[in-house]
Amino acid sequence: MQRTTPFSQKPHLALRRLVPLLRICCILLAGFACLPEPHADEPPPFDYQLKAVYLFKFTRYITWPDQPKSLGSAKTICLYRENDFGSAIDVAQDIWDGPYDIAVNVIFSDNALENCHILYIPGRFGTTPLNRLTAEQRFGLLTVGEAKNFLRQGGSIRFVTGSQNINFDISRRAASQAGLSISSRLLRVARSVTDD
Amino acid sequence: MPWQTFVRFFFACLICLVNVTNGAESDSHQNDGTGQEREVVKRLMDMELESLAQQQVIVTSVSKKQERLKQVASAVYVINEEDIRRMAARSVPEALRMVPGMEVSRIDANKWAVTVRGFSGEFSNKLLVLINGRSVYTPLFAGVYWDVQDLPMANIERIEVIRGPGASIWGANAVNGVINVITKSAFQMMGANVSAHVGQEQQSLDLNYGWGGHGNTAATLWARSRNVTDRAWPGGGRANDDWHLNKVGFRVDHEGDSAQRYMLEGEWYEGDLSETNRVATMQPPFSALRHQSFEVGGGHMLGRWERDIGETDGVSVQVYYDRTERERPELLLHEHETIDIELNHEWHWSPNAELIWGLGYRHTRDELGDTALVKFAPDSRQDNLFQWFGQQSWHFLDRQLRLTLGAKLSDNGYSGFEVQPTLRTAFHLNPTTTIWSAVSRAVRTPTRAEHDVSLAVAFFPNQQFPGLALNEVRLQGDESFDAESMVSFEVGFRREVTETINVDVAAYYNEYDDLIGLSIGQPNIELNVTPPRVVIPMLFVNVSEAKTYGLEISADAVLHDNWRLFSSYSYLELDDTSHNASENDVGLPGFETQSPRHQIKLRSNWNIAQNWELDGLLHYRDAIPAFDLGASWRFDLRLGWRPTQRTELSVGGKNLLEERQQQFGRSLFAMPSEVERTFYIDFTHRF
Repeated sequence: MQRTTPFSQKPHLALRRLVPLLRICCILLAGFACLPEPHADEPPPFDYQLKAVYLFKFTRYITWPDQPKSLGSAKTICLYRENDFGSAIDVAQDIWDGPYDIAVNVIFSDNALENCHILYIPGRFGTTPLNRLTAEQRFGLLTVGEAKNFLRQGGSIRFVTGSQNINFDISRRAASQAGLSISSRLLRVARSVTDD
Repeated sequence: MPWQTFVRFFFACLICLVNVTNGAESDSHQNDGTGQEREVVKRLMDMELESLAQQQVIVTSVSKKQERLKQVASAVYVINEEDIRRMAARSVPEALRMVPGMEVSRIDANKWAVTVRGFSGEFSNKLLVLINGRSVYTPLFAGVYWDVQDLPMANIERIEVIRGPGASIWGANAVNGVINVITKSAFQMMGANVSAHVGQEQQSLDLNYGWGGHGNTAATLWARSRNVTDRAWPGGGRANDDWHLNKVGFRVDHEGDSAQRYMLEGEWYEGDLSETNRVATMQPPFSALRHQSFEVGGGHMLGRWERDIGETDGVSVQVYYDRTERERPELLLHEHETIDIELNHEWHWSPNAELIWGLGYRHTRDELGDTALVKFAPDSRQDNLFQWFGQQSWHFLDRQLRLTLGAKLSDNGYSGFEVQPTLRTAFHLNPTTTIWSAVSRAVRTPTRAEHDVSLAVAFFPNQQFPGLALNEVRLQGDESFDAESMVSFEVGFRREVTETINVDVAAYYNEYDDLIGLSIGQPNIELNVTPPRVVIPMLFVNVSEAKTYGLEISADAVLHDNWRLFSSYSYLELDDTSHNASENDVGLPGFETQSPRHQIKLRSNWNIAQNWELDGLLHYRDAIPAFDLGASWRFDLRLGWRPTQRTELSVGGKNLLEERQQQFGRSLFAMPSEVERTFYIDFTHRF
């Protein structure tokens, strides 16, 4: 097909070409409108899916001191005040196939720490919840947070969101004071390990 | 048109199928997250701790296995789905703009010049482009029909771009780089998704529906319709290069027993394109602008089987069939089919040594119809390509040093047996710093056109031979045309300066040999054509040599919790070093000045408030002397609002600094049109 006036304005042609597009759009929209709404929950951002998996994986590389935690060999991850992970933490719990069970609780009071093996403190709470912990409460508790001075305030592991990945720093001293032993593999993978 | 009937029928079936299956599906949904989320979490949970710490920067294109980006011995850049979303990229070439050193120019509304490290053009033949490992490189002219590589951008998981040769793994034509577009698995595309783009330049609608993610099998159906309006003609008026394309596709993923995975995907498309070409004519003034509309159609099916062997080894088999047809009445009637099968095996035969090897076979068949200007002899051709590759890596010094030796051997129907070796080293000074180097050889095999075409490029009056009024300059394919080759030397440095700043530097020196040129043959008289004429043949010959060298620096930083900045600078120098040309031989003119010497790219992703995003891309491109184009700046801006995690609305503008901008020059036929300042609205909702 050739036309000898190649540079003419042709609004009518552009509109005509939109017709098949609009027709297909209408067919598809009508079809999709008929669909029942899938029962999908709001997924959290990828960062939190990754952090949720980290919390479960940490249990493999930490040795807790012998002490009477009420669940025996099972572990409990406690989330401070709110569940930032959304359904990702439930999915991770469902998928988890480790040699022991892992429970996930949201705690609202420091008194509820008794059964916790890991305490996750979201960054927006800063280090205040950490500073409130007594030495007794800290013992046998892996504290994981996001605040910048989390390790300096006695936390054990701090998530670090870089431009290309999410890694973590470890305070060996804080972990040691909590009676926790960290495997060399976890230390090797960590972005940095401090002994301060 | 049969395609339109077929597409409507497919849509109808798709919707019925979805409706029928949705009843059962809705019962199987659980309250513990979407199938997409489950798939992501499961994938993360299955990863080793080390891989988890490097999440988001795993690449597979460098050696056909998962590797950490920070440790690969190659210049690699990864565009992830977040980058695509925040760039508001509506096509793969648009997304490629953000890659350091990448040259992305739009010739007209449906043609792109995409390359890296030089040799830019509509027929950028030194860049291999793959989608899920399927080559979309067209052996007819050694380039990519970008107009039909039009995916729903939300289906893309990431785009891996290797700057530099990747031929030892991917084979011929991966000379200056490899682009591998990797789409999401069906497990990652659960639920319904609607994405609409309404802009002055283009309008598109993407739909996706996926289900079944809670079991071992997931499937997704998608459709895309895109309409691109015509652009401005340099002298005023419109260029009449508008086009539209409809696509439908599917993907099914299944996780079987014994760590086996199966994948089947396919797509079909049809479209109408328009273009304005300058073609040779037999009447004065012997050239004319021609507008033509033409149709394209095609599709592919790809199946893959993967099996993990132990914790580290694995084997995979991939098969695909691809068909494309294109009917440009005056220039090209082309139908092409490809069947490809390949086997890959990853084997860690000792704690510090691993071998990756594979076999491949490709069969191609084409049919080409004669047009007024272009003829192919033969008009139908079948070719076989046999390939073998092996890549052995050794680790030394407690895995701080990795040495990799690899080669690809292939036998093709045009240039015969080819060897493309590579030697790479990566030295991890510490967990945050890697230095790498590589020496590689790569070839660009001859195309069908370079062997078999007969193309009238110019007519002019004859005054020497009485009775013959016309001279014709004819590009003539030559079966003796051999592969172009390149030897590349690269060094690079990658460092995590602080926890939020990364720097990547790559430098290269490439020597090209046997580059394409033209040889003026003996004129001959053709009396059996109308009108009889003197034909001056110009044969494709391997006549030129060149060297290129350059530097690519990129840095990305998290300046604040809600602000990420990406920057890059690239320098490129091309020198034509041909010295063995005879009087009758000429290199292809201007290739050394068709690429910008300097490029600067600055990209910002800023979360200005909760649910509000402000993103920008600033791009400086140095002059392109071959087309008399001066240095230019380009600025794109996007404001996004996410009232819920399911819904996103964004408005933006592209090319905001200039009302009109010509980005490239004339190709063999295609006339350039101008990019205009445009505005758009994007809407996405996930049900």
